[in-house]
Amino acid sequence: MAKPKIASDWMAGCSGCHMSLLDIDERLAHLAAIADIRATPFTDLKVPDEGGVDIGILEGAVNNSANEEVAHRMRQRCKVLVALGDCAVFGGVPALRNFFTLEEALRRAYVETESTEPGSQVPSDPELCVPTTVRALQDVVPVDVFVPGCPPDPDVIYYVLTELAAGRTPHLEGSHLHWH
Amino acid sequence: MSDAMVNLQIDGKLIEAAENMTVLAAARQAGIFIPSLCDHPALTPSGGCRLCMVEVHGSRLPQSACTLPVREGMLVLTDTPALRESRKFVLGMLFSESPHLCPFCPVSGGDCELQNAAYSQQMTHWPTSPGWAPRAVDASAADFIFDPARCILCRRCVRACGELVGNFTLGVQERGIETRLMADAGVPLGQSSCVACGTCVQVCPTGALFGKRAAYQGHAVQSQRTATLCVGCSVGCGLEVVTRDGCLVRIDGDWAAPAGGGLLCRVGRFEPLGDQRQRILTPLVRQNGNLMPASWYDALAGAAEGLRAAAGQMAGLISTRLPVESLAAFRQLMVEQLHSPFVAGLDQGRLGTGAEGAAAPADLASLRQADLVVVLGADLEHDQQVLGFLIQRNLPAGLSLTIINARATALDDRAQRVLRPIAGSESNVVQAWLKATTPDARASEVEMLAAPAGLSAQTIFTLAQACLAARHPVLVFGQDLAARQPELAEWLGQLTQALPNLRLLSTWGGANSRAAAHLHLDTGCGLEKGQSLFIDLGDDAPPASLLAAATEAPFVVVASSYHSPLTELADVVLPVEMWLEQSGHYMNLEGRLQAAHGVLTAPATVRSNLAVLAGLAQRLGVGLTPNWQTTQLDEPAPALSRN
Repeated sequence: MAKPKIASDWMAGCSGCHMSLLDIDERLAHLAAIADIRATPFTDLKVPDEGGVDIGILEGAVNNSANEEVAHRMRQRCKVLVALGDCAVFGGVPALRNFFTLEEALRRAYVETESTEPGSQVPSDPELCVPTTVRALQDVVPVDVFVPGCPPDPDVIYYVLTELAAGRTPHLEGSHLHWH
Repeated sequence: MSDAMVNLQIDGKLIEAAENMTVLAAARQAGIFIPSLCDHPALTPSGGCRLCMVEVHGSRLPQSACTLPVREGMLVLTDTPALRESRKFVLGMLFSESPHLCPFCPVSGGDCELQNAAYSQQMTHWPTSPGWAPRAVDASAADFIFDPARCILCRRCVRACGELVGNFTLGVQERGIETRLMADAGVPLGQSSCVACGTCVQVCPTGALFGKRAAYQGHAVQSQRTATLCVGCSVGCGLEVVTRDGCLVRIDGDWAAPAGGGLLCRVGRFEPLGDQRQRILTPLVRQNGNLMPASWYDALAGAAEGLRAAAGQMAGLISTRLPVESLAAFRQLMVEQLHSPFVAGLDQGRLGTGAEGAAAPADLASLRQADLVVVLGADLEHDQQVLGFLIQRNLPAGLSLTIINARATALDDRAQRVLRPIAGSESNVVQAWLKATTPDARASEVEMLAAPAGLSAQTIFTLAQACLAARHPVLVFGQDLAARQPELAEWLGQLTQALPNLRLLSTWGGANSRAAAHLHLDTGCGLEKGQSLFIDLGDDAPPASLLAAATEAPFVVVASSYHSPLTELADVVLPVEMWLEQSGHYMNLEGRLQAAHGVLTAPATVRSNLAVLAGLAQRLGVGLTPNWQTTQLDEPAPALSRN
């Protein structure tokens, strides 16, 4: 049997979940032995194979049109979609932006920040992606496996990936289940 | 309360439970876990959250275990596939109302009952994403924050505020998805009738209500809980002090405590967390006019020398926040060994009236049965706030409250009757009340007795009639009366004879004022001008009146935990443990002797009060064998010293 292909990508997150994935340390070698690690933010290949992968992992919430594209692309190209971390599962820290209007958030970020130069303006280049309400991944595309945590513990990530690579459905409980 | 037991089966386990228990309580007692959120052992069950649903053989639908009484022969199932499904659904609905974002919540990681409930049902996500409508955080209260996004409307806080504290500040407004917790008629907490006792914070199952200073200081699993006593006043509320790595994190009320029953006031719960006073870490001795750090050897020698030189003239004052062990040692050193002319507790003149022994005294538990409470010369909200809670929470059940005080007090608004006598005339009020209680009392007689207090005969008759009609009347009297009216004790004594049902409860004053009285440390103000002073302050704040005396005193020794204007005036300062570092016994206003336990470790350079007193005695060459157990603390309270 061919090794299952794994791809990952990130959206509105802090990359902490991918750091936690790397924190499985020497077990990465074992993961590479049992699975074919394809496109990820830390490999040369950045975009999931057009031919599809078995396991797709997404970190981060969906907060603009570019994230939507990443989410839809991964959903189309993977068989099992994993929402990795609190931002992908719940909305997480980026979702705090939802308590304000988009205008307020952009003005704060580009005009009112203590470090911005006087006269700065909210960028309006038509090529820029369009900010949206911040959503959990499941509100944009169907999700198969939810792995909460901010970030999920490396042990949790390793357990989930080895289970999926073996063709089983991971069940998070006990010390493997944490929402923070 | 019935002692009858019933037998039932929960998940196949045979259980014996008291007949008045709920299924939830019986299951908990038997070690069977049923998830619940709105239930709290100290509160009336409400059956609101629907998480504790169980299947009962013979019942068509699941029942809420928290409201279901146990019954003989009951067969209960707590963990069927249908129940698990229903619990997940209930939790999913709770999470759909507002965003409960765990990563930055202070209770996430073990201290959140909502998160724990979700974990118990192996929930990895919210089935329905929440609405993101902003909900304004209310940080207007000085000591805690309300974040409505984390509120699940279980109403534990509402019940605690009403049932336990009797303050009725918290309620809910609107309906459905718009339902919100509110203070009074929708004002910020900091501007509401809230007294900041923090009981709501303690019972909140989520991070919706959380203390500002305790937040992010450590979870339950990282912390230790130690039961001890509050020494803020004479009620002696039981505490559970939460510490982490030897640092104070939080103070909770101890639900199992005989005094207070888990209630605390703001001063007991929050004030110690924000104590900004500067700790004294080395002994200080005045040299060439300046207080200089000194060794313990030199400081004790200097203090002993001053005590010896002023022997026979040195006054001793000791804080009633200190344990009876310290009080007894201090008394032995100052009275028996040094023959000081004046030795007293710092709350001199703020003690009971001596009438306590004249009638069967009330205890705090008896306030539950009371149908009439008269508060005479006491400002409970200010001085013994928890005692006020224990009274005011019975008002909805029909308790009649009468306030007699020359000054306005916070309880006035809740009282049926407020009598405002002229200050210092309270004994006239009691005398008139006593007269009006006699069967053939004439209005003119009562009028004559009430006139000096500025009250009408009719007012007094109304009070007397209410008290005669009451089955369990309690008279609470307190510090505002002071020792100015020695005849008051006599009238109160006679009143208890005329009203056999009447029970008396003195508020006494400080945490150990009652024990101090037993040790005859309750003399009134007797300081003479120019007298040398030994003030054992402990961690107390020095009364302003003492500063004037200390300024004129030729020699002042102060044992104190903190720097203060008084230590600035001292010739020798001896650093001692603060309340959370020392162990010892306290006698509360009921006469209940309670043990306080050291929770924190004192800085290495600081000594215990007893060690300081022993060190002084050693250098003075006198024996110190304080044995407070022999001081007959179980005798009726001694009569008020009149001087």
